[in-house]
Amino acid sequence: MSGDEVKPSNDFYVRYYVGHKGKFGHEFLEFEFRPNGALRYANNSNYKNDTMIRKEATVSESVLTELKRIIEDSEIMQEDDSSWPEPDKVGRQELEILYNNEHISFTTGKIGALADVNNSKDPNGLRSFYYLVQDLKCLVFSLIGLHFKIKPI
Amino acid sequence: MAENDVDMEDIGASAGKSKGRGLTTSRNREKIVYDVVDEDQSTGSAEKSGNVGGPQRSVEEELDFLKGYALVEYGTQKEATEAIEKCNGTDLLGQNINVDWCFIRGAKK
Repeated sequence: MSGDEVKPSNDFYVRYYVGHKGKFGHEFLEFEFRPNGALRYANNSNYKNDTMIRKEATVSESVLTELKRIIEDSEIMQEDDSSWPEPDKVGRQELEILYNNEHISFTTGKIGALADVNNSKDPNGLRSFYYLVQDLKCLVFSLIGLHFKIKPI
Repeated sequence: MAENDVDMEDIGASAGKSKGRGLTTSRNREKIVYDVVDEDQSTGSAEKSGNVGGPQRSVEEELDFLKGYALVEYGTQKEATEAIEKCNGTDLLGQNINVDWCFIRGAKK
């Protein structure tokens, strides 16, 4: 992209990735909300020769507003991943958010349980990450589940 | 809203401030072809945020009380439109609730 382009500061973008590489290939779950409301969801595993599940829908402004509220409540933008556990062979998590002209791109390992959070170097920061990820997943699964219902009413 | 999609490769550069280790997995899986529900199908099942009461027939409600939002599905667009009109901006247990469509039509591919 050319440098002279002036970008609007109100761009909003969220992406979450969790995955690992193992005997069933690159198994991961990923979703993103793009500034135009596009919600993309992908879930991949080669377990029993499964193929990638990919879904895309477009959500309204009110859903994005709710998403912003969830992110604000989590206070994740004030955190930093510098002392979070490094990703390892167990897996990797990535969270990228662009909101209010601030950008975070956090990377850490998988969190097995809240005990891992409490025993980490930055329990408070990792805890907000942990709960935010749960909230985001819950929202995305509800949205995708509803939008792609096989048998709508 | 659909027009203001941005080049995601450059997303960090557009921010006033940026932090974090950065990412190693490819952000842009642009080549992936995603499933998109047929538009006629999606307008048939109307979903939106909020709690719905009154005369509307809400056949299925998923009320996530603690989450602060809910997705509600209606059998017809008419019922859903009516629910939005009647419930948006109303008071629920002392709090104002916003009721709106959940999904919109995306940009044409």
